Amino acid sequence: MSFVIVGLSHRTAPVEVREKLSFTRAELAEITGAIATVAEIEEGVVLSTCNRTEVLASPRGEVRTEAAIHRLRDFLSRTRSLDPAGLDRYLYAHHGIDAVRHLFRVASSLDSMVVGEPQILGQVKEAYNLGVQAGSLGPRLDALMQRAFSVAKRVRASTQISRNPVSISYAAVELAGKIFGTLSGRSVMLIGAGKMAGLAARHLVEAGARHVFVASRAFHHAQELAAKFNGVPIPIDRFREYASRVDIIISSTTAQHFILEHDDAQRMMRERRGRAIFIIDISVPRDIDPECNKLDNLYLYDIDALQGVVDAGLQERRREAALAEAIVEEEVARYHARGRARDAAPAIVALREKLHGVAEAELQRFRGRLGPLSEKQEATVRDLMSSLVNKILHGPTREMKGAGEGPPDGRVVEIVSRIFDLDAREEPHDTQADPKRSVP
Amino acid sequence: MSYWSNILLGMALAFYVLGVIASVSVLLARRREWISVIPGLALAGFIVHFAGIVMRGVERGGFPAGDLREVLFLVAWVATSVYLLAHFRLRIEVMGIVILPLVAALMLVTLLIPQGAPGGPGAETAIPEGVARAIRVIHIVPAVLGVSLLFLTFAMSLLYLVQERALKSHRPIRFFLRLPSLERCERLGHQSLTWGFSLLTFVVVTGVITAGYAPTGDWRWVLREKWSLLAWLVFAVVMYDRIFSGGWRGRKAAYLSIFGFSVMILRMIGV
Repeated sequence: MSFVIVGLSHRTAPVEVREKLSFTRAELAEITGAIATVAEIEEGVVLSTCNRTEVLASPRGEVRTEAAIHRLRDFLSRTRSLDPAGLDRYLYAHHGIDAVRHLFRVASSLDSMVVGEPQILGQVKEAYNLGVQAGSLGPRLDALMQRAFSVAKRVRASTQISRNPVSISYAAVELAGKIFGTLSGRSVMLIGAGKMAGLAARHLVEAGARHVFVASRAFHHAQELAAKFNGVPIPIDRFREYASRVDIIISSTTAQHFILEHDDAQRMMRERRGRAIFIIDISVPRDIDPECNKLDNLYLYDIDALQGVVDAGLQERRREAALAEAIVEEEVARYHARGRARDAAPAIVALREKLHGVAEAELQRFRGRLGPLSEKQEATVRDLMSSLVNKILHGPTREMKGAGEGPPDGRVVEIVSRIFDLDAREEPHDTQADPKRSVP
Repeated sequence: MSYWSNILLGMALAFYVLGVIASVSVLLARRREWISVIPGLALAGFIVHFAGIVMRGVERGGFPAGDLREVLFLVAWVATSVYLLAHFRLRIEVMGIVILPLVAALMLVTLLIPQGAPGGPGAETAIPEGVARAIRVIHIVPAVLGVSLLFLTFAMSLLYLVQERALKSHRPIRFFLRLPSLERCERLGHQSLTWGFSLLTFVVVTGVITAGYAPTGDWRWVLREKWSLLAWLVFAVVMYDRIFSGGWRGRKAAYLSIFGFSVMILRMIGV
């Protein structure tokens, strides 16, 4: 019994294709409901993000993997009435342990466009919730997805994969956090009302910063931008007096010379009585004299310095991603081992019961011919039968538990089940609760 | 006589050393998940350490602060408790990496000090037993507390400098461990310094009074205490500037705090 994943992502499909298969939440709920009606599919959920649409399903017991994959391809193309043949080349399909690995990697943000971006786990959880609501999520997928969540959490807790900024404006927030800790209640001044400065300011405000001041040569620009943050527009020539009060300055003017010289900054720091200030200078040519960074408690980052932070962050992410991959691999192996033992358990029980049943039945059949036996002889015959059966069982049991070198993916269990005509594999969950049920 | 307490204190040291080894492996092997075992090891050491101190008290039949050794064991123990409190209350996980090596080193040095070395006031004077006991309590208890709080000041100053240097050099990402923000380092450093300094001031005053008790007119304490006084003076400068001018916040205050702490510790172990 195995899982199947069919879908497309930024790795296999260009944006023109991806956008055709992207869904709103309401559509997604509907599709998730529809997946349960596919005959071959027992349980299924649909994951849809900007860069990925995929169906994770657990096919019915008797359905062959290829057939299930085929049906899911059809299913995906029908959601948007696309030509299945045309869509095919963009789709990937995984099954068995590869599907498990794929899910673990996706949930841990290792398969994301920006590796380590934190939203994906929430999106996988969303798919899970929709599955619960639509009733398309059963115990098998439930167990698998719960496992995926905890793998993702482990990856996040034990690596720094999501910690490093990947954009300049986010780097600014990160740095501000390293200086001030919490940003709530901090004040920001924008000098120059450029687009990038606005973006950085937005990130800072989202992180909790209050009191935004905007200084611009064109006062109406300052007013416009300030209105977006409930901020205060100020005339450009008064920025120095505000500079001694605010915590963060983002400068992006088009001035051709420094608007803040070393001496100005020194005076400013005296007025601030040593309170730290974070100055982000994203203009080229630069607005702030780079010498200012030598002043105590003043942290000046120009565009290159910010980019350096971003680059280092990306590099760090790649390093951390390798660590995360190792964790995922470990978890996949663990899941695999556990799954084999778990899947095999009902079949092993059934096999034992069956063989012991045969022995018992044959004993009854031949008992009459043996004539009268003493109690001790009777017990010896029983021991003989039982011992014989156990000896025969030893090899197959070990193989089914996966301890041997047998073929992977529960194939051994399947073969043994077929040879001995066991039907314990039909509904492993029920037979696990009541192992005697399948005994003839 | 002090057989059992020594064994327990040695065991405590072993736990602390394990904590230090864990810290080093976190830093070198970049295995962040190992950081979670450090407070556990510190806690184990802390408990055994406490048992060792109690055992020492039982062995000598009184508050175990009679000689330098016992005082230093107390200091190391209270410093660990300050660290554990700070860890569990404030969630600064890198703290263990800074404080545990200090505690371990202090324990090691202390275990090597011969027993009966003069340390507490009255140890080398012939003052009446009752007075000596009273002095011991009003002098030693705040001293131990104050010094332990200054461990925290030291740790926060060090973390401040690491973080500050990273930010100034525009390479803040290279630390895979979450350092507390500059603001937080400064605030905690200042708070611990305020309390530690107040206690230390009290200790210096009682120390002077104690010395005045010496009936033999032994003024060696001035020589001995010059380092204590220097440490006190350094901390006073940091406090003064922080309160009155604000000019020496941040880096300079951190350097000075570390200097003051080092002088104090070196004086304590009698270098």
